[in-house]
Amino acid sequence: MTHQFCADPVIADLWHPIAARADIGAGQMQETTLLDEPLAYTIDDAGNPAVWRSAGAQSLPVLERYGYLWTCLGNAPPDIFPIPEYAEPDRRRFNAASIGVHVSAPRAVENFLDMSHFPYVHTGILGDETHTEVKEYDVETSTERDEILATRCRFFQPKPSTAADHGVEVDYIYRVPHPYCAVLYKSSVIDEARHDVIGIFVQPMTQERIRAHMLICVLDDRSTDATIRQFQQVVFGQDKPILENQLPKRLPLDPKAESPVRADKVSIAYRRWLAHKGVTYGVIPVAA
Amino acid sequence: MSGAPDVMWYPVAASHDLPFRHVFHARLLDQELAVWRADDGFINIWQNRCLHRGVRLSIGINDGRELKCQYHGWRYANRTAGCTYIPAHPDRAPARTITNRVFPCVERYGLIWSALETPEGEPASGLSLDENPLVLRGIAVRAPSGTVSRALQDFHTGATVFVQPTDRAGCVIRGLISPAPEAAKRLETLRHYNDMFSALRDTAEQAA
Amino acid sequence: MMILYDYALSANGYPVRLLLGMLAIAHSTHFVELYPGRENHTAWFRNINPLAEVPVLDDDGVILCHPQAILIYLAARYDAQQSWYPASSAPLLGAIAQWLGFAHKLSETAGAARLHDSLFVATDIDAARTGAHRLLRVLDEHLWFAEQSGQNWLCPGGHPTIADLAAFPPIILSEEGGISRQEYPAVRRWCDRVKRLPGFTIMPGVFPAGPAWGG
Repeated sequence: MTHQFCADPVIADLWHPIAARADIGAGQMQETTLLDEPLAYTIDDAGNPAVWRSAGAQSLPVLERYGYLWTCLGNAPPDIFPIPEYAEPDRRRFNAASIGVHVSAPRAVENFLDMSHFPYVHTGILGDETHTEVKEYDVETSTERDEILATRCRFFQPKPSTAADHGVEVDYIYRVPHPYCAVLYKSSVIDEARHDVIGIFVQPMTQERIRAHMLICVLDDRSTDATIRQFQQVVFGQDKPILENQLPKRLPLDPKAESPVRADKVSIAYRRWLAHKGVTYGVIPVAA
Repeated sequence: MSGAPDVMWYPVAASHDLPFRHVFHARLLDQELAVWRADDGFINIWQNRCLHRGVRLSIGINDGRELKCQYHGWRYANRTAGCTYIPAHPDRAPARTITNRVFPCVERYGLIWSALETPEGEPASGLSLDENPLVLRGIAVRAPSGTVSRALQDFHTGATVFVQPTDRAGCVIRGLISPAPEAAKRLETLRHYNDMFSALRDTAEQAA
Repeated sequence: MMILYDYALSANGYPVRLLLGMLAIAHSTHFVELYPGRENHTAWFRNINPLAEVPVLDDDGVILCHPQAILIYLAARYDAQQSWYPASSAPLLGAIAQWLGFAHKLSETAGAARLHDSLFVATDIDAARTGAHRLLRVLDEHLWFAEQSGQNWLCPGGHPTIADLAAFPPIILSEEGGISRQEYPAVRRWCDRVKRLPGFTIMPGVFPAGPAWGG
């Protein structure tokens, strides 16, 4: 049986999430696809994860981070991007869901970075039609940290989280530390000085199909785990039909292909960053 | 018919496919189209993707004057296809360059005709048809339009039939009965041709 | 107070949520986390429904499992107009039962495809999609001819029935299972009509329709 090795070295030489640890029963073997390759994985009785290519049973490197198994099909970097907040003991930390979507990984990341859709797609929760303006915010592409950071993002939200009982203007920071992963830091309604951390770690099954893993790492002293997960599942479930109706499914990197506006500053930076890295998987590269 | 397919008229919908405030999802020669009738009667045929981030306009909202995209609420005007409102920047007029790609539209014989590039002349010119024929139910076939056209030639149907190529692997059979039968025979005529073309579809699909 | 055991992403719970909204029936919802919590498999829930499925309705001791059973009960008991499930018309009851059966087949095909593609539930995905398309083709023809006779709903009579509500969720969520509705224009128009019913509510995956009045 032949398998297609991902021809994009930038993407192949990265750690990618393949499963939430909590979804794997002890001793259970599960299968999935990563970059068009069928893989299998398990947690043994001693609690150690193992990942291998289904064709040929070749063992693959594996890391466990943030409650997920990560693997690499090419040359693995030394580690995965850091999220220091994950170590804070008073946080609620778990996977909200791992959901399959018919779209490319970069389209899903870009949707996660976008605020202007809140009043339309997440009406009554993350936005409403009386507050649609996206105020100026700042974007930095850092070569030394190899990531994008969007700061000073603000948006009025009727129900920003499970811990909130009324609408507030929420401060957001978006961070993209990996071509297919994004992290959101949103001002906590419980402690003004700290942030709720929500991550989307996208597993590229194929160029046009993903499994999106959603990390919850938040401050909430009143809701059950299931309630917090439900909130995130509802929000993502609302994004899904948008993502599945985007054409083309791969993200066009040519700045002339689509019509961004000022509110799209972070997505413009993201597309430029992917183009600069030479990413070809899941995108439509700029014509030579 | 002579001429390159891109510059030919094809029916892409029936008039009854455009009820009040609906957006019809059409396909012609691999091009997805969003087809909608405004309250003033004008029919818009646009490339089926919002210029912003590519979300299909066929899932958008037709409010009678504008088409609103589901993703960010961008609004596009009837007739001009220009973007009129970008909610993220409510105090700014959208750049005039944000205008959808439009396709030509003629409504005739109870069908909506379009083309990838505007052809010369009128659709179905040269056929002597009543202005108000009976429009048969369009039958989607998952077989190439060439195959279906050839199969139709073997049928002496009594209908005037057009084959709309949706993409390489599919088409829609759109027929007219001219002159339209009397009212009492209308439903049975519709059934008769529906069954006939459905049988042709089944045969073509099995062979495909 | 009536209790509905439900899950926010459940397509099976959706027809019940729709009818509760359209009949404006006061109720409380007890969310049962199917994924990832598998709360439906806990002892307390199996006690309520041994089949470990949602939705379940508990109306002051009347406990019903399965969405269609709940639809019939709610319509029979709470619909003052008796149009959602007109018990006095044998032909209509027969038609409704026929289309409820059809809706069930849609859940088994389009619904299974959705669970496969979103939550990786094992199924024969090709058979599910092929089966869904076969049903949608039949439905498109049925609805097209209904429109030609001035009918807007699955069953004749001029009013929507619980059959429309039962069929709607697997259809409107079909794209999540890789099933496009582009070839079914009459089905697409019917979906708009369902969305415009007074008391209609969305669920994640469903867009509201714009209003169809004014001008």
